[in-house]
Amino acid sequence: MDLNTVSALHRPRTRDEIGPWQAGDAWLAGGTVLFADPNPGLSRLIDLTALGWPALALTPDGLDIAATCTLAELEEPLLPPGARIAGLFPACCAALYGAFKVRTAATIGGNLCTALAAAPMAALIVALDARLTLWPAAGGSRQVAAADFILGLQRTVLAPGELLRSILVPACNMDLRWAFRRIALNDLGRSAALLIGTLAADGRFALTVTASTPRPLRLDFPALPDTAALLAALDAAIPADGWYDDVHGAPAWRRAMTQLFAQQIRSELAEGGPA
Amino acid sequence: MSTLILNGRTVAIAPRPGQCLRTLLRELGAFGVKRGCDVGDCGACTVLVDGTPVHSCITPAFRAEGRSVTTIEGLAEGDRLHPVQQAFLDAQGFQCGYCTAGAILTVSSLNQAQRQDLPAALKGNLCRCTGYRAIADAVAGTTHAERGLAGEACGHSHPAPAGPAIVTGQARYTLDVDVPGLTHLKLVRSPHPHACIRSIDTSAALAVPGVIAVLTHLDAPATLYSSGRHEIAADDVDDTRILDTVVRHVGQRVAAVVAETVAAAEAGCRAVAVDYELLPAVLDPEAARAPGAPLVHGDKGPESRIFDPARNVVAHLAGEVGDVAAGFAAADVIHEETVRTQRLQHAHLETHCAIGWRDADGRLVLRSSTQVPFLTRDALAGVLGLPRDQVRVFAGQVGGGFGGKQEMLVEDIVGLAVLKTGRPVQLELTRAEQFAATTSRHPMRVRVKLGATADGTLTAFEMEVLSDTGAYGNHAVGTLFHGCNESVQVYRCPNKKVTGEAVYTHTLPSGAFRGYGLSQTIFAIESAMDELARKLGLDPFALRRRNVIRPGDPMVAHSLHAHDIEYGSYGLDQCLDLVEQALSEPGEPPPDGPQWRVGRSGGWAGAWHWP
Repeated sequence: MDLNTVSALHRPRTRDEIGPWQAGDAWLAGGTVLFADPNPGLSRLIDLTALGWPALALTPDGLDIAATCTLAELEEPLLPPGARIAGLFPACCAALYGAFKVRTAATIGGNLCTALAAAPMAALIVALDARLTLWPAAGGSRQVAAADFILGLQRTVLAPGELLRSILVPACNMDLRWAFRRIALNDLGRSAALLIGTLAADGRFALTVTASTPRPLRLDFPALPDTAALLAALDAAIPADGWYDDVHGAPAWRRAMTQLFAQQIRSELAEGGPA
Repeated sequence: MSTLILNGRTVAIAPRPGQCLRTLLRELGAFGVKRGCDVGDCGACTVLVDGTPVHSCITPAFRAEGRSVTTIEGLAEGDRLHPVQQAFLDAQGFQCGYCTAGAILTVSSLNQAQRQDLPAALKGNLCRCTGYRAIADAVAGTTHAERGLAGEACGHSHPAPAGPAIVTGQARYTLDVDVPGLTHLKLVRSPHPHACIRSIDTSAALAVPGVIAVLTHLDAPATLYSSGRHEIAADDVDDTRILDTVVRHVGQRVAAVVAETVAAAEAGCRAVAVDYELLPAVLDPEAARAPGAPLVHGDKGPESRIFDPARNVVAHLAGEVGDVAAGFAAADVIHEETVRTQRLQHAHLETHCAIGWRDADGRLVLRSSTQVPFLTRDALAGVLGLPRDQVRVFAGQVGGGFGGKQEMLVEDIVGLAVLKTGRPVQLELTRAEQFAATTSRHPMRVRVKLGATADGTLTAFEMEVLSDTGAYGNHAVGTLFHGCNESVQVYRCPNKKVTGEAVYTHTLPSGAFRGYGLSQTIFAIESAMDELARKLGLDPFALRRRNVIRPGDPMVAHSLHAHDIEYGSYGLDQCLDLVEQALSEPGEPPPDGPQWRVGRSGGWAGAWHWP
């Protein structure tokens, strides 16, 4: 929709050109969320795509994903040949509530910064234990772990004027074994529970829970736990009133699905042993 | 100033910083690009940018600079339709047509893999008319349209006359016209469920550049009317003013700002200062009838035709045939249950909208998205105090209604604004306004009690209905009476009793919605019939076969008052047979595992319609 209070558009080509952050500013990436709300408090858009960040780069450190990388670009990620995690990317991109036409514009950074419970990009990067690079308004950069970026529903660690620059999927995680489960009230609906389990070569297991909780949750285990230990860990991590509640699913159902999926993921990864 | 290539032609553009591509393209005259949800879900605004389909409502307009944009107007090559346009024509893959341009452009971009999974590929293309089967047929290349010869036309599937215009984006919906000097109207809405307006300060709003006028209750006629429209206007209660001194639900309009642009009108709305005296509100229909409940229209007199304003009851129905008490006494099995139904919005893709102006003869003209242009014309003349021949209301192509446009929800305020300003005025409700401030299906609480002998013969039929009409009584009477009619008549039972009331609450007004009261009551009755069958140990179809009316039976609801409706043919028995047969055919098997149960049921639904 038209953002009728916006009277200025800033298209910086370098970080220096971004300039000081002002009240009424908003970062613009794909625009698929920003333009879906009247946002009457906004007066200026700062177009991040003008900075020309390469969407994807494979480096010795891992896969470097620009915040402005679209979900369509991410569906076929630039990964080492045969990397086990390749299939997880399209699975998470397809979990976006928006249609494929939205995925051509929506960005990973936008999905993370919007910080909805059902954010599929949060599930992806938390499961892959990615590191995020942030650009504080004052200059320099700082890093946060993926699991620490989203604080709660539509809340992140970003300070005013700070932006998400990139996401690094570490090279050591390219060959994680993984299992993915998702459910929504209809096949193509907004995720009500989206879980990803990963199993590392050294036997470490992690379970990432999203959509059924207001913020992503990652449970780390030194080895694949038995079912009772896994369910106990879920219970300990998520209080009885900690399940997300909106029109896309009742909390009790989300809890039941989360517990079911956790067991299924555990079983799937248990078959075949550690990677 | 920059350029883009629109349908092969380079055009100069000056996108506004916060403008979306949809609005820019419409300003360039590409009216085939539709505004539906305005949040990127419905796909009515789909266009191709450098060949890639995008939702133009969530695409910043400046991103199209230097790009090639194809809208529905540019898909055909001259007179030769694109194959997808032809396929939609052949399959008649459209109903109201408002979503069709976006659907065609999306389908034109699909690869073979996407075509194999249409639910996913067309997830971003909502057809509110739910014509998905015909759309899938179009994608599959199925032809339904027949060209019947003159004199042999009957029995053939004729293509819709509007089809060629719809698939090429030439069909003109309500706002698809270029009106010189057009101004825009936006509404200030109440944040309170019940309040009295002490004062409205419009000075800051009038100081906003571009604002032409601010209308308040001081500008509105005192005339009371109903937004619901019927041939006989007295069928509805007169409880509504164009702008009132009392607000009775969150979202009720309080003031209207007319400005040169939508942005200025919105800024004007934000600058209007309203001083409210908050009043107690009642939000629950049961509580609304209790003694001492806040009154929604306690100020209204008998001229409004409200059944009992002192009890918040707008409509009342009570009737009995036979002796229900004796019927229950004679029953072997009695089943009683209560169901509640929720609000529902029509969600037509074209929101309520209208453009008004004075024509060369000084007549007030409204081009409106309406199902009832003539009834609205009559109502407008009455409310605005104009002779009937000084008002003209007409519709272009209408982008869906489903009953929601059997209401005068925008024409009244647009008409008033035209009279006050002398300018052409456009009002287009946002999707959020549709949900918060138009109408919905009446939520109902329905209690059904049925009695039957062991062989399944009904001995007593009792129903009690409580309908929540919200803050205004538009269609409250009609939906209550209609809802308690055919639903009951379809069963032959000597003893029937129906009571019902429609009550005011300080909530969103309910209104006409296809089914007109029957969908709620039929859901309750058919659910109860199923449970009764279970208690009797009978098949639900057998129970219905035993009790539905048969040729020659009178149609009796809750009185023996003679109706002017009769049935000319009878197919209820065949319907039951066909449904039962279809249900017995092998379907999708249940998933593996002992935790899955399979249910089987059937029901009847239908309605009278007469010209």
